[in-house]
Amino acid sequence: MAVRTEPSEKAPSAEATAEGLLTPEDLTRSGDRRRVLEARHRGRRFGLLWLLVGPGLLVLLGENDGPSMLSYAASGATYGIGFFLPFIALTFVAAVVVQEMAMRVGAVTHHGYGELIFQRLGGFWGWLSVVDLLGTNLVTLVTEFIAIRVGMSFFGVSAPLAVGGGLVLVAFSIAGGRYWRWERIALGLAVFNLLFVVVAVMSRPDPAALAHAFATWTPLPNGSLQLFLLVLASNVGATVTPWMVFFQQSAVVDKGMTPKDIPQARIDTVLGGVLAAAAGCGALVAASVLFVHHVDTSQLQAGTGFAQALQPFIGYPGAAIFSLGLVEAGALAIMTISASTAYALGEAVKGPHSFNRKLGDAKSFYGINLGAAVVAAAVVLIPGAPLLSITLNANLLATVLMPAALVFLIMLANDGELMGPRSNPGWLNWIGIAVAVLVGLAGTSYAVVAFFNTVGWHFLS
Amino acid sequence: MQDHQQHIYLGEPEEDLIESLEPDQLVVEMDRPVSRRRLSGATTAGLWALRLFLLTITAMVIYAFVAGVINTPR
Repeated sequence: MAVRTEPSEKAPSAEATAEGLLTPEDLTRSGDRRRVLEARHRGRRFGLLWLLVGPGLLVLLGENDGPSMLSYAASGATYGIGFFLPFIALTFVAAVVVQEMAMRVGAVTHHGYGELIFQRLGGFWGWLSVVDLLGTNLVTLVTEFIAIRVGMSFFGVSAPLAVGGGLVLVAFSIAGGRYWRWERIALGLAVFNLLFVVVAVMSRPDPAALAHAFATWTPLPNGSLQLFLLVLASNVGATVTPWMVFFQQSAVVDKGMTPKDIPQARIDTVLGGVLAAAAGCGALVAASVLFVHHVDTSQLQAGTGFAQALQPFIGYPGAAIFSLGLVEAGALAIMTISASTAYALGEAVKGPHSFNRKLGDAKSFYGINLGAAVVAAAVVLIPGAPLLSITLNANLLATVLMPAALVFLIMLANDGELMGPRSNPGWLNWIGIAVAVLVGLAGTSYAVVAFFNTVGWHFLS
Repeated sequence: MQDHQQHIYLGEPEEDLIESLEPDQLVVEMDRPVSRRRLSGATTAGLWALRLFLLTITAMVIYAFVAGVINTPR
């Protein structure tokens, strides 16, 4: 039974149909799109939203990954809720602004971010962007397995078993040959990111103190400047990172979204930002009980750290939920960051880059997806690997490299030939530039202070 | 033909399935590259300046990271 589409829904070009140039990927995607058109045609608003949510929720909850949740927890444990609670909420506003641009460019152009940089700006800038992404993704993937390992160790699960479980999840999720299946598995997992909100409630925060923090951004952090800048830059890198731009734009294309879907895709992105901010702030609030009780937090990111430290204050159930949240954060991020790696490399070498391809038709795409996870997992299992240092620095690397990704995104979103009337409005450009400057300043400040302190010039510590 | 297009569907797909996609959403259309944009001299210089700046900052972060790892007691 054919679904009649609105007059403005265009049909594929006659040549493509006549020449039989439809691939199985087209057919898989069109099956999903048919349901969207049907829901829109019948006026099922919530049904339509259910079909179209995904990339925004996944990218923002996916960025609430292992090192991010540990950064938020470290912020709360080190400085309390004063400054960093509203700061983290603000970084999510910035993330939503950036991701809305990526979503819009993907829906309008039907090209991934990496693909557009290669084609529109040339291979030189394209490869630089992809190399940036590969570097940050591999380091971040390592930290995701660290999060899984740390979370599972709370329950006595050995490191090889925990890490192996993460790999099995990636292999299972990519085995279906359909974007929709991969997305729904990831969304099912993403729900558990809200475990951090549960832990925050269990820590019994004072509502008046939360309101005071949001209203005044005080008390301000004090102590070591380098530590403050490390926490600040880590929190920025915990929310706004290059892989998110690559991932959401490619996922929007893979899902088959069009300009008509932009309103629902905006809801998807904003909802993702709100839920992710709630979970991120939850981790900070939960860990702030350690600040209140003057617990030394300097080494908590190693071992089962935070969960065990929290146990005397929020009980075993609370600590267990915190650990489960860490496992979820790592597991979801392994899926999304591996996917962004595979999308980006596929787009760079003009190879397959879609979950709507069958396994046998896109061996390189699925191979990179799983291979990136395998490499990261192997690093985590190396005896004596500096896991704590890697965790602390993963977000920093993303912070430092993000301004370049943001500049390219703003250029693409302002490209009239590509975007037509859906180019960025002027005010959005100013916000985008402000985000780029904020991210750049955070990364640069830490880098300068850390570098000079390392070489022995301690004028800023 | 690119690897991307090597598995062409040769049958007669259902009409309603075909109509569910916009023309530029077909794989064959998405594989057509968009035209190259000509960057102005100022834009290119700006991108180069940003790149060199970020490389310098990245090098500083990596140096501090490696030094931290080396100096951390095991």
